[in-house]
Amino acid sequence: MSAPTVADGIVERLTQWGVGRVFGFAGDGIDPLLAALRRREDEVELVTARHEEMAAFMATGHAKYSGEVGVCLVTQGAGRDHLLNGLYDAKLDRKPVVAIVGQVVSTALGSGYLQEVDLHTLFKDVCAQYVQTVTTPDQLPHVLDDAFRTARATSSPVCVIVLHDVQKADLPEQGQQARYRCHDLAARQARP
Amino acid sequence: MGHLGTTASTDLMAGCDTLLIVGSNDPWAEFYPAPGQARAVQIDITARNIGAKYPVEVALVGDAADTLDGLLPLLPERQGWRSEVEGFVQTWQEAAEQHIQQETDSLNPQRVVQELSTHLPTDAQVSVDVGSVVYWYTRYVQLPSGVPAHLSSTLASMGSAMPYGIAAKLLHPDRPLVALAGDGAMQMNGLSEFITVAARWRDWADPRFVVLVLNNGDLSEVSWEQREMEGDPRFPTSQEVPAFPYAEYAELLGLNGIRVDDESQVADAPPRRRPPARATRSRGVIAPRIAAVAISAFVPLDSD
Repeated sequence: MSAPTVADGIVERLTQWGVGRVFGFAGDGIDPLLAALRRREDEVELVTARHEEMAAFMATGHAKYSGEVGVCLVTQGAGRDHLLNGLYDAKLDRKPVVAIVGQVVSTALGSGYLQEVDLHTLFKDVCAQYVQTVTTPDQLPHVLDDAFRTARATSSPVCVIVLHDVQKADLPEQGQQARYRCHDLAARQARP
Repeated sequence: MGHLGTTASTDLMAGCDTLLIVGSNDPWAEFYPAPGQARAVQIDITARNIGAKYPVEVALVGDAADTLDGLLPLLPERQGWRSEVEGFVQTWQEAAEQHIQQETDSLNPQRVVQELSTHLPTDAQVSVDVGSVVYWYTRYVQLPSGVPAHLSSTLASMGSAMPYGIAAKLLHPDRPLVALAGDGAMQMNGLSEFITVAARWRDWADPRFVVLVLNNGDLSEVSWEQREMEGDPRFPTSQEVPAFPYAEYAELLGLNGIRVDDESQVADAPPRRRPPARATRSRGVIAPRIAAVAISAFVPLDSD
């Protein structure tokens, strides 16, 4: 088996947050995440809706009936736009939902690539409490953790955007997370 | 309260001198007591909701149940007001009974929903869509203790019943699911998510996923609003929902679709027995100028 990817790390972290079900719809922007879900199919069930808005409503419904965080997963194409209304349902009824959204590869960002839009602007209002893009593997798991903490603490939808190439990247070794590297960087910068 | 409420809730708001708001952030500010009429106390776990819709003198931030436990022993009983409130409720119940019994050309949706309420299994889960069905849900569905019900409340988006119902069913596949929806919401997206139900019901310990489709060929709530709030006539071009064979569609998906056309079939409601599971749909005129109402409920044919 090949080395675990960042997508595998995300799915692993979902299981650690107690997530057993993800509502979503396929798209090439999240293929590495879908592959990671396939590898853990016995632990995390992918429930597909017929439309991304319905996946977001299912995640909100899951939060309403269970009292837990609902999770939905969509691609960076039109699916992410479809997602919005279901996330607004969570926002206005104050329910915790984590939306995981794909994005084009990092080298294409800002190039007007196929289906590319400014996701931070798109999700800024509905996920006002937390919207963050994972641009490097080292941001995990803390971005996902902050998303879950924020969703739970503020009872609101949040959004984690993961660049396509980052999804496919090798998962960094445990303990090498960015927040610790920040300390390293600060220490280096402090040197004369 | 408000558009969805009863005469009892209107009388209560109009007659009270003290208002206790418990965990509610009801957005219809115009239906609270008039400004200055009532002194208000509000309990909410979210501090930013306190005073957001009505001026309050006392803000109690915290868990509603715990706060009420602490508060209730301090409240004196006011007999006169209590009997007045009981009168409000009785007046409403008599009016509701008249609404339910009202003879219509075909099916009366209020009677259908009230009848469904009496058949709700005690372990059911309920999901509700947005539109005129919410009026019937709030007024005529008595949820047994432990039966949850959810809808898109504050966003009030059409299309919540099917995805909510699926999420609830996946959480508790051993409990019957009852969804209430109108034909407008079904055509917006509910029909698509029926395919999800058809693909999954075999995995459920209790495969009952009963959907009541109130089919009147009309976007009723907005039709009412065009007349009641704007003083305009109903605009048929904007309000008409095209005819669709809901029961036949269910059968096409391998589910059970039953169409209920007349009052005599209403009491034979679907969720009561198991197996064999049943399903229902009906059609009828609820009032002059308001189009036909139809009901559909779907469960798998071979649910046992």
